[in-house]
Amino acid sequence: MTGRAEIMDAAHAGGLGGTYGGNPVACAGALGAIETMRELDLNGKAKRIEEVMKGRLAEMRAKLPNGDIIGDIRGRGAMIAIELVKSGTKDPNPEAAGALAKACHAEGVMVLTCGTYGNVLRFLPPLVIGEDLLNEGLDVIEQAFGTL
Amino acid sequence: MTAIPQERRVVTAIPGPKSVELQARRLAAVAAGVGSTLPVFTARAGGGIIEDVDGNRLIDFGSGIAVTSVGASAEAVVRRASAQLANFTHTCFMVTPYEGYVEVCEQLAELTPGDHAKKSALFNSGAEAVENAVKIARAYTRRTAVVVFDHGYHGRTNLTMGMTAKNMPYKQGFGPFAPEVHRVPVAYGYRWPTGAENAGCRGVRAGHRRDHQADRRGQRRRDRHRAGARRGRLHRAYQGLPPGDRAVREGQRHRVRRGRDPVRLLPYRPVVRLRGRGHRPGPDHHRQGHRRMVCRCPP
Repeated sequence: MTGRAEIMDAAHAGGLGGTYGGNPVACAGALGAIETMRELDLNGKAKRIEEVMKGRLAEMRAKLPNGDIIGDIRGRGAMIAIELVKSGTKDPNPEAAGALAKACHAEGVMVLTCGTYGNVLRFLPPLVIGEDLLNEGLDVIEQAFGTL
Repeated sequence: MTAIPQERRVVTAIPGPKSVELQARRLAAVAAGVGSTLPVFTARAGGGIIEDVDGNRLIDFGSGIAVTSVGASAEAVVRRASAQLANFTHTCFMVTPYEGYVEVCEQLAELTPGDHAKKSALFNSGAEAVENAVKIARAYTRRTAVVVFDHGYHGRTNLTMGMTAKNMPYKQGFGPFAPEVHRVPVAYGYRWPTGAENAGCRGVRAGHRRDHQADRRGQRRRDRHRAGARRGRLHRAYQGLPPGDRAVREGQRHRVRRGRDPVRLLPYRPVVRLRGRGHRPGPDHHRQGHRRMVCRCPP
């Protein structure tokens, strides 16, 4: 947890902490992750993933016969989601989200569902994913719409 | 970067036979409340691939819920963590500190936005970090209330569970929740009645809730009903009255409010007027699952 020094120092000495928090192995791993993010410019990579995913998903919405069940495409960087609705409405469609996730899983693509109404399919690829693999995953999602 | 071939490969049904076998062991040994999106057991993972125990290679669009941004076996992570493991696994920073902790905090100060002086504290999980953020904010502002955005997830510990919006699966049956948590409707552009560009504007809050949160409101109403029924029973017991006495039930709210809480045997906090727009709910409201910023129950 990071914040302004004067705010972070508000708690009295001994008021924060825990036996295991910031354990040395986790800290070493975190420093390794930061090193990797700098080395591979993963911030830039996240922006590229957003561009590819949002482009492909918008294309699916326009092109697929049942594309209008994609009510919303949103997210930032490599954290992208589609909200699924019943055709022609904004009524949540959790059944479609579940069915699409199942179809993707069967074809070897790990996707997660979420949302207050359980009707959101979210995509959180690692930033190091190759663009070919990213597109292949999106192909599988596209095909999954055909199974609905 | 990783030894795992970066290709999708499905060689068995998903989940495969070895995963099915492990799932049977898991069901016998792991508490049922801990779910999994897909009961495919991981053998190794790296880059954009998760390889399961049956040899299937799945494209990873989950990253362990947005954790393994650098992949699940990034070279620098493995190298540094392995070296640390060989040196020492634990001393507790609060007992004898070590450089890694300080270095992570230095890196966070450098990487996070703003050129002001920054400091950090490290915790075991997001929920624990949120808990501590609230503690630090309370210590700094000397105010107790917490405002959270609707639809947000904050964690599963008692305070963060109370802050989390979604009832199922995070909260149902797990109350009572921490008090002083207020929810404001915002940050859901797609379902904002007057369009995403107006999300958060004050005028449509009531309509927004009415239109789009009926299911959750229903759940809260059921929760309140249950809490109310329990309170009624306790109240009648407290007064030595027979259960289900109608006259008592009708007058009960008024009398209970003026009297003492039969559950906690503490005086009720008086209702506070808030600029003539209704009144601020007291702590007892939270116990009933009442989370409006401005309460609408009779004054």
